[in-house]
Amino acid sequence: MLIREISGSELASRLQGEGIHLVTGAFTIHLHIGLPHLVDEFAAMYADYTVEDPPGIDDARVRIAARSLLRRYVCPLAKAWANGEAPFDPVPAERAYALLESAFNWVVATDDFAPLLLHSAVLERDGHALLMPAPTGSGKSTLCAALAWRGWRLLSDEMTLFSLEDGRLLANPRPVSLKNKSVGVIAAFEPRACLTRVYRGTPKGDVAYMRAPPGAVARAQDTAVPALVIAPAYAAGSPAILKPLTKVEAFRLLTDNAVNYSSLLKPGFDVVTGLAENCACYTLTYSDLAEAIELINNVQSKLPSRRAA
Amino acid sequence: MKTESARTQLVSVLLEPRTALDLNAREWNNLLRHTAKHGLIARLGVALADHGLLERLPGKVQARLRAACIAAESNQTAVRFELNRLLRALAGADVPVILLKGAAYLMAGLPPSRGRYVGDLDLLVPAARIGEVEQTLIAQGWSLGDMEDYDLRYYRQWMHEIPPLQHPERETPIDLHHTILPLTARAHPDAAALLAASLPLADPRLRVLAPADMVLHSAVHLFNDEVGKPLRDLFDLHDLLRHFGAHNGFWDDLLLRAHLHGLERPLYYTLCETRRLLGTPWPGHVEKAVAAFAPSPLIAPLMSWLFREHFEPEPPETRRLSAVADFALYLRSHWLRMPMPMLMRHLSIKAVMRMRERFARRPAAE
Repeated sequence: MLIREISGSELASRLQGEGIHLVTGAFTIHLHIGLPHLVDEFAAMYADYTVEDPPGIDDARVRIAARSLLRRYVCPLAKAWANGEAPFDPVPAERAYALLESAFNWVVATDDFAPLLLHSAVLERDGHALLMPAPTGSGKSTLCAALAWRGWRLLSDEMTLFSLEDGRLLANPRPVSLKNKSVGVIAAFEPRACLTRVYRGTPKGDVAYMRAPPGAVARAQDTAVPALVIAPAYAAGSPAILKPLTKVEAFRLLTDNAVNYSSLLKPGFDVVTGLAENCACYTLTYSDLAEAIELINNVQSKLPSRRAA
Repeated sequence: MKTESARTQLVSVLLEPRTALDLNAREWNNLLRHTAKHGLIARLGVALADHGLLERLPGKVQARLRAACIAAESNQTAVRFELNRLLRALAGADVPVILLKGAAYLMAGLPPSRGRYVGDLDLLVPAARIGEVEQTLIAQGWSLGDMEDYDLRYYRQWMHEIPPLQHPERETPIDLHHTILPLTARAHPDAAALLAASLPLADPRLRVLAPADMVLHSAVHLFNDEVGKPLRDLFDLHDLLRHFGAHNGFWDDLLLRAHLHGLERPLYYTLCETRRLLGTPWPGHVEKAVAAFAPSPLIAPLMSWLFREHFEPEPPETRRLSAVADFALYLRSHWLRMPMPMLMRHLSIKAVMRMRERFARRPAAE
């Protein structure tokens, strides 16, 4: 059943009671929400997502509720529990939605993922998966959000999850977080993009979230084969420049962005060398989204066809 | 009751892997959560794989167990490599290195090592040589971590080990011990006897404690100390007792060495708790000797309740009683570790330090 097929009152009572098993691609979250306004904001952003009924095996538990009975009414504060821990400071209740997204990211990032967890956006076109490993602030999410409206299927704007079985990439499409100026950039770039209001004063500045495009959510169970690695870096006023990386540079780029590389040793090394060997790897400097997308589409279309797979 | 079933299911699936085939999704969710908390996921994965059951489980469960087994294997590789670097650093020093706990099980190929995560590399060296070993390691790149002055002094003056050493490029800390209990503790195990009875491994530069001493060390650690993963450690003891128990003379040795080191009480708790919870067998003639190690009849029921809550805690959402038991055991571990005036001073200093720390850090939500 999809979230939007559940009536508002039923959804609220389930979220406050037993919780729901929310399927976000490869990752199923047992979710509780104790704040009525957050139920509405959540339902708007996750309308197309599946609720597993009857509940199956989940990957994590997340609960967002008032920090205490008092703080439900007086200067309301929201608190997040993730897998039984409280990893974040409470935030003013009006920013509860941003807290929920942080908690979702946290449970993915702290999971014992094997063979590797890579901090990177992932999209797919014609069977070719594009990895964009980059630190926060490099314009990765902005470019990812833009590509998701130009023929690329969003797998994740945060984390690359490799399947243990065949090394393909698992999808975990969720709302894309846009910071500060990128909010306006994406709103202007694509009128179909549904954005939340702007949550002001988070530690990362002003943040808004873009709904994952419906096509990405519908195909959330489809995996993809890694084919292209592009490390983006926004530089004001710069023309879009794509520069090939040597295998050694690509290796370093990937290990720098791998979350559990140093503890996984050989399995992690095998994945990273596999990517560096088999993918076309580049850095991309850009300031204009359309120009950057044209360059990316160009290299993608020259890759050997994957349609059959 | 829901909580009861999650508590006992973990133990019964580990002992009887076949029962895993009957679990429904809700039970798996509770079980996996519980198992992860106890650091037993990879052990569960290994047990199920041994019985050829892994392929018959739900896909998500398989993926989770396989991932945990890979992580545990990588961890064991890291520990082996750290040991390799340590031996290289100590080449020519001619100092006996006795592996303790997880590292010993791993390098001696003992049953508890299967699917076991080894957090630190615990080593025992003669007290007279520990300074030299520390200096050698520091000269070759290892360093003492950031630690408050109070903790550093406390380690040097009162502990059975020096502060952990870690190499900046690697993840496994090394804990160098000169005995197996703090110097302030009630019991005083005979460190010289531990060294003298230790046995060489295939690589003669490495040694492990003799079987009886190994069990007693694991026992004193579990029952006299604060332990992060008590159920995992209880399974260690279960494995060791079953493995060594089959050898001639082991049980008599165990009683003798317990007496020598003054560790009769932890041995009593070990035998009672492994048998009660995991059904670990021990021979009839041990029964009578062990009964003499029991605490007073006034205390025994309380201890048995405390350990029950400790080994099979409730899930975190409802863990009121387990939290009480854990706190009581925390106090007990300190009570056993040092005399009362020293304990009061230590706990108040730690409380202030913890408060300072709480104000200083906490990751922010994005």
